[in-house]
Amino acid sequence: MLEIKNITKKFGDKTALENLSFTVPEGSVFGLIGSNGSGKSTLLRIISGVFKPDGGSAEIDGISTYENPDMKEKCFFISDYPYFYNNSTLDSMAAFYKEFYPTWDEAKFEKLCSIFPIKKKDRIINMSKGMQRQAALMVALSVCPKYLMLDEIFDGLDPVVRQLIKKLIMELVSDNKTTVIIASHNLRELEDVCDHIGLIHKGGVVMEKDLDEAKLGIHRVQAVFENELGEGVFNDLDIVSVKKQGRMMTFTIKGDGQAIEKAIQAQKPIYMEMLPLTLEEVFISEMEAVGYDIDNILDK
Amino acid sequence: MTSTISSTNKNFAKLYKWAFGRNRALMIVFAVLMAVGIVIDIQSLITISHSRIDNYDDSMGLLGYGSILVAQLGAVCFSVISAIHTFNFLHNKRSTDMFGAVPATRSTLYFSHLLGGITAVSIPFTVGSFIVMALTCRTTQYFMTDVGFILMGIVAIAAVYSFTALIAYCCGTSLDSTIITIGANGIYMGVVAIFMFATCSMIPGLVGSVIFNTPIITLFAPVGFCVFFDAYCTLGQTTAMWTTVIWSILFTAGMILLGNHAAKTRKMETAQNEFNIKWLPIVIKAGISVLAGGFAGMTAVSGQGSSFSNMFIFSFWYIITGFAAFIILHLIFSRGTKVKFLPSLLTYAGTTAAALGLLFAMTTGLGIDTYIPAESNINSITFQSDEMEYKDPENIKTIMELHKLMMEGTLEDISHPYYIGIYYNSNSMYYGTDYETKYPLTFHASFNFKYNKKFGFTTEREYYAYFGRSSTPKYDYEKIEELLKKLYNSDEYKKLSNPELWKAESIKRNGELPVSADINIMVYSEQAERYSHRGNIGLKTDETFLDGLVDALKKDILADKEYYKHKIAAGIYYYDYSNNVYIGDRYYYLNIGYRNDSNNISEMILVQVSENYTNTLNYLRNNGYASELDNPSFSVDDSDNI
Repeated sequence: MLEIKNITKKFGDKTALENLSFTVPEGSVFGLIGSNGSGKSTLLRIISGVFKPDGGSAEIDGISTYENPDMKEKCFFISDYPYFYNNSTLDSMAAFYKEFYPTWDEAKFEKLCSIFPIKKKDRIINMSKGMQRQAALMVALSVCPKYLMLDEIFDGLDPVVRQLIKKLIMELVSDNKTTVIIASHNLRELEDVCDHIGLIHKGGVVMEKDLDEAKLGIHRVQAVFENELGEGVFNDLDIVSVKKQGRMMTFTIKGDGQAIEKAIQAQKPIYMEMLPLTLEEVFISEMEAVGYDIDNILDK
Repeated sequence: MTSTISSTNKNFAKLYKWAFGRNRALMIVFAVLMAVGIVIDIQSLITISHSRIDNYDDSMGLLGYGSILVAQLGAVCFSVISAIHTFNFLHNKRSTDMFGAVPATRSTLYFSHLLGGITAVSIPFTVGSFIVMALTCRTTQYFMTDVGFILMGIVAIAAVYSFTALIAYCCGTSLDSTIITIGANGIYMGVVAIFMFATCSMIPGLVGSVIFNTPIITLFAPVGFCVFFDAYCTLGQTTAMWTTVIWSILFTAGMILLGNHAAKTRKMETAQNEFNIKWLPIVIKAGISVLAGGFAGMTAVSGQGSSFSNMFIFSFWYIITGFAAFIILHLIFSRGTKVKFLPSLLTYAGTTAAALGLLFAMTTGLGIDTYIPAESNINSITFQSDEMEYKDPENIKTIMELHKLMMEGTLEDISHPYYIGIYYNSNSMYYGTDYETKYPLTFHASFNFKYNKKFGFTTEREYYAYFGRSSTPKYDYEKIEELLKKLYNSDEYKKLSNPELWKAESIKRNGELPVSADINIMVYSEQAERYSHRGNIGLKTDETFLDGLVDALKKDILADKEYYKHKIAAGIYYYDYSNNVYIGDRYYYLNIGYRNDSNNISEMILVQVSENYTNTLNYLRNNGYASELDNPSFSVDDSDNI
């Protein structure tokens, strides 16, 4: 189990993470989402042992990963821009990593080489951004780590490869009980693969939940009312936003679905429909709740 | 415990192999250059062997250690390049992600890269140098020198490598790392040299070159370690040589400890960013401004007279040039981004004030200009360039008095404390001719005072009696001449100037007589260049005769009341310009060449024997050598050639 305990990280005067705490269940695929500059990449670097936190710790089974080779051996991190030496090839990178990770699976590497369109002897640095990311992921999957940290892994990948990667990640989780943490802005892809979600904003946790729970905890309701609604009729509901187009009103409301439906039906709507929310919509709603919404940004 | 150690060092060997592999290309380049050097050596060896020169072994030896010296310089350069290359992973955000996540501690990462790099540079250097040694070394002496050079080369590689690695950990970019590595070495030596130069220019009497004879010049400049070690070794400066070796090892150990500390504490996020140690660029900026300002200031006043305005000119150019250098470096380090300028400017102002204040304080404030060690603190004084070391308290007093007179004369001559000038001698007058005849001892003395103080400390001062800036000399020649006569008539001087006679082992090593003593007698007339060969006593192996001769000589020398004249005649011919004649008393010159079985080396004693050395002359006559003393076999008159 990975525990983030009161992590604080500062870059000069700027606080990137402040007293951040949450737990990632073992064997889960954890989606780390948040606004730009919220500290997602910083958190992944701290978990991987690249950065030293100014306070708190990232612990695996109660042991800090920082300066602990035994713990770091269980982790693998692909940063948002994976690094390769000028003359690196897939072969040379495999040779490098297999030295350091006893869990390296050569057969798996060979299998991945046959799946992905990358030649083992080609210089990686000459490849496209997407191809480089694929090369990094091939190595990461071959390591078979217990904890896999992926930063913006879907960036620059075509839809087919994205699907393939999601499939391979799911295979790794089921075969190896790997815990995967994916930091990404691509919420559509995260929605497919993640079972847990952590939303961070300005260095703090806004929400950390099971994905289904997160999605079920917020609802969108479209309704048309015959008469104008009176003041305070929905005071009992936790309404995040209301949009009105003609007579059609769209509510985003937090809370229990049945209670919401009941409250709206009480106002005798001509038309009413409960719509499912995408992760992106959940994200926007949650961010609106902490004052990070398009209207606010534009007003500034 | 075992588990902790094994966990801490985990993957060291693998990372070492990786770091070594990363330097493979550089290693090949260095090895190729070494091979080219060896080919050149072989060609030179063929040339030497065909030339059939007498000192074949020496030529080979010189070629050998000359080549190893060049190899050392190559190794130092490659160490800097390799270290910057090896540790450049610290200066890229993407590579720090990769290496930071590798299952190894930061110390393991540091040590593996450090040792991998050092090995990569050391292998071609060591192999190449040993090949050169095998090709050229012919004598034990050269073998020892070559091995010493090779070992010192390896120490220098480690020193430079660990220093550059430490700088790499302190910097955010490879460019800064390169600037600071090169700058720190150059700046340190430059600042020491310019400081020495400036103080010596303000206070005549200070011996600036002493800096180059001590490891101070390379204290924090590891690229100079092996160059100065080689120089000390070649010049036979054993103390400086061993101090350099010990300091190099201590320096390397210190750099490794600091490097490890920096590796543990470095914030990885500084990659491609600012300096990890905030004061480092400030020190470099301050150092370069002192160097540039000092150089400009000294150049501006070179050849100028002695006045208060000189101090102003020096200060003006120091401030202007130092400031320009400071600003340029500030812009380079900040890369055009908004960096707080005011603190930087205040640092410059502080450094400038401190440097100028220190320089000017040294002219009077610190008392260096008039410093003469306390008598109670002096073990001995080495006076003059003949390296004679005086320990007799009476002579120590005499020499200290001479020092005081020379110092006072010089300070008055240059209008101290307003003098700044690089070329003191070349801008001065020569007080020769009349004074030279009247005060021959003064004019043929080098006034170099080296005080050997307690606890191994030394103080050295040097003055010139025959140069000055004033139209008339400010020195008390009368008194100086009198003190020199007193010194040269002392028993200590007599013994020091005839060491072979008082050191019995020179002639009779461990009580054994020399295999032979070949005695020649020359007689000089009152004119120094006219001399005659009076005869050859020839080979003597008679112990009693030689003992008697040595005893007679010692007795005469100690009884000589005008021994100071020997100082003039023994190697210095002086000329009376007013009467147009050479001056000198008639004297005999006993030339005793001897060879001892134990060392099988021919040695020579030259003893000047005056007419009043009656013990010696009578001894020779009584032993049947009257004709060799009195009847010339041939005469030479060289006076026309003078």
